[in-house]
Amino acid sequence: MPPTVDYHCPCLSQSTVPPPPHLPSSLHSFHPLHTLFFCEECDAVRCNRCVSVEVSGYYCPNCLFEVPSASVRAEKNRSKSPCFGARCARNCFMCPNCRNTLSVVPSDPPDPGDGRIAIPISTVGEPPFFLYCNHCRWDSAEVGITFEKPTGLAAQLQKFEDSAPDSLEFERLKEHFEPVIRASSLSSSTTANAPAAHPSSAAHSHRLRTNSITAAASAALARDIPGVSKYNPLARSGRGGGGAVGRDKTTNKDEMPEYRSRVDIASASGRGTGGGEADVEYMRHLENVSEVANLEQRWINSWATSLQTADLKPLRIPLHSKRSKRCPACAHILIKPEQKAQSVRYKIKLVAATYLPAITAALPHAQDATNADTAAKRTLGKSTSAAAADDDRGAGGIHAGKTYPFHLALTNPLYDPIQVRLTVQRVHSSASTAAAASEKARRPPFAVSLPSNSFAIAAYAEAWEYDLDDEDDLDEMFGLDDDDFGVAGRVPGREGAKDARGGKAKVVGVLEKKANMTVVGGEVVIGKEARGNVKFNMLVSYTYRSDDPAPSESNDAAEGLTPARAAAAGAGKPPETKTFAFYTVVDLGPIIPREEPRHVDPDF
Amino acid sequence: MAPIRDKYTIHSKAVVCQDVELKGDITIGSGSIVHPKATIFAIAGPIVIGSGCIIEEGAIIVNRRKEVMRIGDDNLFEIGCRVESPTVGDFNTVSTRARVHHTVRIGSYCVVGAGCLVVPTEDEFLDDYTVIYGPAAERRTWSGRGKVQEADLRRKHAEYLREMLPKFNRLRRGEGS
Amino acid sequence: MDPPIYYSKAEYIETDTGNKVSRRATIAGPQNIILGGKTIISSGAIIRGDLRRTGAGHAVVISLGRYCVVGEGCVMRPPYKTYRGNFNYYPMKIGDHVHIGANTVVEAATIGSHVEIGKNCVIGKFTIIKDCARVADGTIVPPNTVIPALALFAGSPGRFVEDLPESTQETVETQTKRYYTRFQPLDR
Repeated sequence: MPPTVDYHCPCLSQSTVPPPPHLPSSLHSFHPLHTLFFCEECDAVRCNRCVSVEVSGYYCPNCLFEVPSASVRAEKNRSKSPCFGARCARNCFMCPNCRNTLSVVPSDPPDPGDGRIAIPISTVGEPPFFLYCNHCRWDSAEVGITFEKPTGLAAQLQKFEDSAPDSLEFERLKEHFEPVIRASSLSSSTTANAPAAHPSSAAHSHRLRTNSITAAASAALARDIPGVSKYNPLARSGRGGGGAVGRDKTTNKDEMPEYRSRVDIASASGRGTGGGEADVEYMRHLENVSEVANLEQRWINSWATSLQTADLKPLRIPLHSKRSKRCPACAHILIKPEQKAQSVRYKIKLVAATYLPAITAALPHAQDATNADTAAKRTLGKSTSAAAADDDRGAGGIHAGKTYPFHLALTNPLYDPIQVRLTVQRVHSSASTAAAASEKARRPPFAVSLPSNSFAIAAYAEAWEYDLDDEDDLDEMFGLDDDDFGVAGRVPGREGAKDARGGKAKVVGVLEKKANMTVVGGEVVIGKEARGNVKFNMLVSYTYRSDDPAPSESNDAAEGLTPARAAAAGAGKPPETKTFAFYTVVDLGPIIPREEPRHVDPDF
Repeated sequence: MAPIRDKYTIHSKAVVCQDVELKGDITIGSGSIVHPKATIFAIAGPIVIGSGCIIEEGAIIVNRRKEVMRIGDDNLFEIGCRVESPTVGDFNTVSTRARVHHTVRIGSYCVVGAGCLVVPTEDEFLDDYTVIYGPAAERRTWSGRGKVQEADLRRKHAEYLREMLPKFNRLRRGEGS
Repeated sequence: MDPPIYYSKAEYIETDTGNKVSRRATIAGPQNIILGGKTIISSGAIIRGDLRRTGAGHAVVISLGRYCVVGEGCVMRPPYKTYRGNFNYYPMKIGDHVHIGANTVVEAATIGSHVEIGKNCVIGKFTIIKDCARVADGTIVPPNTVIPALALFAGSPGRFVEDLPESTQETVETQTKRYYTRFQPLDR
């Protein structure tokens, strides 16, 4: 595993300081940069764990047809199992046996009966048509489902589904609860407005409405849990006697008749829905295990289904959704996809990668090992590659009791140059005060040094994208002993001389500058008894010049400007600077303990 | 073991590309197609392939046993599959990158799914219409519905290849043809 | 930062548009294959441009866009079927920034742009893979499957696992460009 750098998202926590990297909880607060968002209003990093999500549209993942939200609700999800969400209402079905997508195929022409294979003459295919799985070769004719036409299958199948006992039951349940839900949603939508802390905007009305419906529905359900229901009348009558002012306004509207199921569960097994004596009898005479549908094949259906594979029905494909994402603090929109289902563009896309410098870590000694390895592999042919890979582990590993240099490459996504300062988070900061004794033992068995001065990274410019002289750049990139000035001189930015402190063979400090990337070197001293991973938290703070007072500095400001002009424009005004800081966790990989110097842990 | 003597008997209506590795005593029947980069190794006993078979690129057919390996008619061996079965019936499909061990004899109308490994330690016979699929090489029996259309597809496919492959690839001719 | 990936200069042919094609790859019917530029065809790959649609005229069988990589031992082959009783092969179209891992077999109809396909996969006939999708290593995608945009597929049969991050397009574009830059000749 190459070294990784993940970024911290505080997720609305009070403390912006991340947990120390050796705690398991640290895993959940650090994320790869490309999965993070950035809220300009709050000036903060947001992650998928904390953003609020809204569905902006549904589509079928197979036919890619967009389904308006309204029809998803109106068509009662066209599903045999309403509890599992919306399904495609067109011709898309899944194999109940292996979950592959089914295709509609015509029947074979009648067999002439002489054992020879007849060549079909019809070019359109013979009815009846059936659904066929080209992975496991299940077909719907096996369970008695065939179609007269190869189109409009959903409608043809609807008859089967609607007459299924569980969907009839669901219909009845819905009818039974409909008036209650309607009544309570009316009252709760008025009450829900009061405690709503969100700033009211047009976009929120939709959310409130759905919230009130779900709230009412869950409240209604909670009151009708079979085991609890017998206590309810007492409580209700008691409260009713003492004046009808309950805590919850909706409770007293809940005078509803008891629900009686359509069929008694004891007799249900006789109706092909499984359960009871019929199943026992069936299992007793079982000859082949494959006649019993396995759990995975059955559990997508609602509560009671037949045990038999012979009863598996084609499944409708669940719809996928496109989602908008909002900042959890200010409700500012961070992600807004385009309407079209298969578009990968976004109307709004505020991702952290366009605001924060991207950082990658590398261990030069491991890279040297792999380089030598690749070169050797190429000359000697592939046969050596396995052996070489083994060697490489030993050579590229981090051994206890040694000192290693490492590189951090920072890439600036902004159209302005930035000044960056890196600080290693000391573990004694917050967490260790609580449990000092145990933390002492867990002190990191290694020490990290990073350049203490701040350093510059040149601005991003579209021109860097064009890889004009790749080869020259590469030579410089990997000839690390090259004169720093020579490389820095290529950068049109103003700094360069400032950073070239220290002598030739420096390890800690700025090593290289190329376009909008700066490579800094650090050093890690591994303790003699060290184990585990070399993993530390690093605070990155960067200062950028912003031309306009608003925090939205990058995209609109510099669009269309060449870096030279942007710099000139910046030079004209008094430079206004802003600083932003964020935490990262750097994982350089596992330490190889001293006892077995060439043996790496087996997970590696 | 006696050294392998190469003896290729290729029917005049078969299409075997030049860029194919053949070793040992091999007979290829009428109308069968062997794509470039396929391998047929008769290490011990001979290999006899029937008519109308399609052996795609990267497919490997090996006979490790002394007895004759008999492959029936109209079988399809897809890209990169490996078959060592001592007998193979008719109209079977061994899908892309599937592997069938020499302990397995294959009936007719069987399908070994893409990437499936069929490597039992004891001898086994795959009944007609057996379908093997999925990561655990699960088995079920195909109803056979659609087999006429599939056979039609296979025949037309072979017919197309007999016409097109010679236009772009150099062919091999057997001594015995 | 990333080290270069060296290849033997003698093994690869570089075209005017920057395509790098291994001499150890099998390219059948090259006149029917289009490479968009800066695309790498690794050694041991087989590309079947000879399986063309019947009928007169020049037929493109396989087209690949820019910054694609066809890994070692991959097989790229157009899909076939009978339609209204007539047998034919149908062209395969692949967008830009598509990486295909080693030993994967592709018989797809269309693959969009910014798609990553892992190693040892089987992409069945007439599969449609939309933009920015990803197929995990060792996935078996049965014929006629549709993989929607920004979806991760894995397993046998290949099934939806999760949605990919919104910035996938940029990430993949950077990676594929960097890969091409890293892919350097070594004089021996």
